Amino acid sequence: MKIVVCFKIVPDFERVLSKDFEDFSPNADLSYAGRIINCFDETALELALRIKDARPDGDGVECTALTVGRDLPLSIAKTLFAAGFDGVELLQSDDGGYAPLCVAERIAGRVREISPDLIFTGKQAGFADGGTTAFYIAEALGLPAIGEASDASFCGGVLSVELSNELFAAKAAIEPPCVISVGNSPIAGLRISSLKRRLEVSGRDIRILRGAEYSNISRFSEIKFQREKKERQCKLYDDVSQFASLLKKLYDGEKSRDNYMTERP
Amino acid sequence: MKAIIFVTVSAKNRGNEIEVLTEFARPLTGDGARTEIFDADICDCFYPQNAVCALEALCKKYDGGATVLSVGGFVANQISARLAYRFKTECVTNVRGVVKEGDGLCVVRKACGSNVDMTLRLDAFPRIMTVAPPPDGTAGTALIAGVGLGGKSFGRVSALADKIGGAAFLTRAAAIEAGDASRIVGQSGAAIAPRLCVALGVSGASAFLAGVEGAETLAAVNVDADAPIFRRADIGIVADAKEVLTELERLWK
Repeated sequence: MKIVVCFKIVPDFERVLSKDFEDFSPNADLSYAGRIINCFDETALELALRIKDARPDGDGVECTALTVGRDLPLSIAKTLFAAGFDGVELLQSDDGGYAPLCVAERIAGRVREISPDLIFTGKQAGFADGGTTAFYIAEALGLPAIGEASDASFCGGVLSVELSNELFAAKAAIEPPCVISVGNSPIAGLRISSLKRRLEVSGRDIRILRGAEYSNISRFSEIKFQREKKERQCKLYDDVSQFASLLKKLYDGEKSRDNYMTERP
Repeated sequence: MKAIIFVTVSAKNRGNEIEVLTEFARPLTGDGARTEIFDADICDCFYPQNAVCALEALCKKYDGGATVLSVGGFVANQISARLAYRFKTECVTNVRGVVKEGDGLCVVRKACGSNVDMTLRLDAFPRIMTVAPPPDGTAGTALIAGVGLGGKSFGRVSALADKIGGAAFLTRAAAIEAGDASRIVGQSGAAIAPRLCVALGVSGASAFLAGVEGAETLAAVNVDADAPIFRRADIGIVADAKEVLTELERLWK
C-alpha cells in the first residue's frame, strides 16, 4: 500500500511580531519566527505513520511526504525521515503567490505518477487557511474526499475514518483510493524521534522535482492585507472572589456590560 | 445574463442558509442579477458528483455570469471547491464580506491564523465562494478551557456549564490534552457569540480569538499578565484558572 501525505511549511504565526501584521505582506521576511509544518498536516503525517505501524514491521506500506514550495528545510526533512517516512519529496516552484489551485494541480500530477491508495492532507494551512486544496486534488484525480478527519485506521481493506467537528462526530468507512483531509484531532502532531534515529537517517536525501507551471488557471488579480484593530479595554481585577462574583452577576443579568465598565474593580 | 446562485446543502437548515446568503449577497443584487436557489441533492457527501455536475450545468446556463454562494461547512466547502476546479477558477472559503469594485468583486476573509484580513479581487466567472457561518449565539454563557487550566479539567468545566445551562468549549491545544476534538472554539472550530464568555487559562492566540469575537462580554483568566487575551477581553484577572474555576463552582453549586 502506498500513502502520500501532502504537507506545507508555514511561518509560525504565533511568533510573528504584532507590528509585522500591521503592514503584512506574504513576501515579508518572517524567518525570525521560524518555519514549521502546518499543524493539521502534522496530524495527517502522524496518521499515515500509524497506519504503517499497524502492519508488522510496516510491511508493504510505503509512506511519502510531499510538499510544494521554493525549498524544504533539511531539519524538517530529517524529522520526516526519522519519524518513518520512506520518501520526502519537494515539488519545487518559484510561485510564491496565493494559488491553491496551481498547488493542487502540481500535487495531483505527482500523485498520478505515484498512484497511492491514500492521500492525506491537512484541512487548511497558512497563510490563507483556504481549505480547498484537498478537494481540488480529489476532483483532479476523480476520487472521493473525506473532510474533518480526526483519526483513521485500516481494517480489512477498508479505511475507517473518524470525523469530528463542532457540529458532529461520526465514523465513516471508505474504500481506497481516496483523499482524507485531516482537521481538529486529539492527536497532538508528528511523533518525536530519538537523536539516534535522526543520526541513522542523516544520509537520506529529499527528492526534488520541478513542478509543472500552469497558465490556464485563473488567479486572484489583487490581494491586500490589513489588520483590524479589535482591542477592548480590559478592566483587571485582583481578587478571585470578587471576580467570580462579578461573573455570576453578569450571568444572572444583575449586571450588564455597561455597568461593570463604569464601576471600580 | 448574471445570476447569484444560493446553494443549500441541508434540508433541515435550508431556511437559515438562505437567510444568511440573502443578507450576505445584498451588495451584489440590484444590477439585474437573477437570484436562484439550488438545493444540493447529496447522494454521497464524500463524492458529491451529482450536485457538482448539476451546478456546473447551471453555471454554464448563465454563460459564465454566475456567482455561486453557500454557507461554509463540511459539505458546502467540498462542493464549492470541486465546482471551482471544473472551471479552473479559485473557490474562496469563509468569506466575511463582499464589495463590488467596478466590474470586479472584492471579498474579505481572515488569513495568517486570523491575524489579518485578506481582501481578494475576483474577476473571473463563475465566482465561487462559501460564506463564513454566523457565530452560534445559542449559549448565553460559554466557559472555555485553555491549557492554563489544563484539558484534563474539561470535565469540571463541562459539568459547571451544564449546571448553569451554558456551553463548554476548549482551545485547540487544550483539546489535544483532553482527547476531545469536538468542542474546539476558534478559527478551525466553532465561532460563538454568547452574552458572557469566560476564557479560563487561555493565552489568546489570534486563531482562538477569531472564534469568540462575537461574545458580548469576554472575561479572561490567565497567570501571565502579558497574555494577548487581556488585550481583547473586557474584564480579566491575573490568576490561576483552577482557582477561579473552584470559586465559580462554589458560587454556582
